[in-house]
Amino acid sequence: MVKRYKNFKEVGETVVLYPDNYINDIEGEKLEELCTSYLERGFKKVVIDFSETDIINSIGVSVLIGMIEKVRDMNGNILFSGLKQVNYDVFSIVGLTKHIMIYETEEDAIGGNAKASGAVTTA
Amino acid sequence: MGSMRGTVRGGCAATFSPMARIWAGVVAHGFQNGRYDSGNEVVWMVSVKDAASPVNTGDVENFLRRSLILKENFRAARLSRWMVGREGFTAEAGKRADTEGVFSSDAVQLRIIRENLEEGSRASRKTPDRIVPVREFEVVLPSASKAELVAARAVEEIGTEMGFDDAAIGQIKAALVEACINAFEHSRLKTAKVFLRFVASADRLTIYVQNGGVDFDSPAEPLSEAPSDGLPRKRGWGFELMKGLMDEVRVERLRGGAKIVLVKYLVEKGDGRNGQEV
Repeated sequence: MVKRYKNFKEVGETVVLYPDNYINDIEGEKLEELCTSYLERGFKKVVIDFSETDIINSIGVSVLIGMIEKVRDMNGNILFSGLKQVNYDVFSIVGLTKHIMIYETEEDAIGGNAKASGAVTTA
Repeated sequence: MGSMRGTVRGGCAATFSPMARIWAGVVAHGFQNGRYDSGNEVVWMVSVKDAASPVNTGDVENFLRRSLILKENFRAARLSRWMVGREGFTAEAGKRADTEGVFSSDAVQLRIIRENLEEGSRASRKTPDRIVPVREFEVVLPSASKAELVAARAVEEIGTEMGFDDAAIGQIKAALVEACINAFEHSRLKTAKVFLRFVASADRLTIYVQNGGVDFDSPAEPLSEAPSDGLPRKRGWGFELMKGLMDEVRVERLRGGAKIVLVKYLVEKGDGRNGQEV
């Protein structure tokens, strides 16, 4: 069963989160709260789809690193999808691409397809 | 030649009576220092003797007398006087002109001047093909939520106009956002503004981000500890992001603040190197 809302979508035990076009401290914290609430409800897989995200600033990156840490602490799985080139560059500079699976589309991430990490959409 | 008709740059004309049938004259207005105001106006009075005999002292005295009358009409302006004789000047006439600060030229010198001017003119007409003029834009950001996105939008327009591809523009926007955040964080006052200057030249875009604060973060500052499970550290990525996304990043200390300079080089569209190290 799929439940689609403005900022997230539930697909079975997976939740897909859709951040805004700019991830700063405020948007990052909103995303983190949403993610935490789903983990507490028993969702084990979190997909963050960045298709609508143009810019992730360094504070947003910090929040995302914290989210990854939290999901892992709760034995969950977090995946990224729909990254624009510049956001892939940002994650690559901070070294996140070595620690997280990145998929081209949210469908790939939900399905857990093999092609990952480095598969990006163009800006 | 019946009269001396002033040929004028700048939309003003003057006429004065003939000195001799063999004489022609020109009055022209110019401006020095690239400023078009009365303080920088220069009026050139030029007379040409187109005759088989050289300019003599009588000709010079006549010209000086008339130039004095003309000077009354252009009190505010600096007057430059120039006599040209097809056959040159007598020794006395040349000395007299020199004493009075009047430029003097013969036909050969005039031809050389004309050729040089024409050559310069041809070269300047070619300039637009070779050199793209530098354009500058300035943006002032107030201390407001997401103000840095205004800077990102501005640089997107400038970068697109310059010919950067989408990937490079994305990198510039992200780096600029980091610089603006850093500038706001380190401003002395909560209401301080951040001043941006974009300089678009033929081969690069240079962005100056200036605050009124103590400093910017620098990479030498202590960084936050990395999480225990091997994930990257959480904080202190601002400068590393800027450096990774731009071709050059430097911080210039200023009195009462600091300035960060971001540079992105422009490479030909389609060669896939915009946004990469050149």
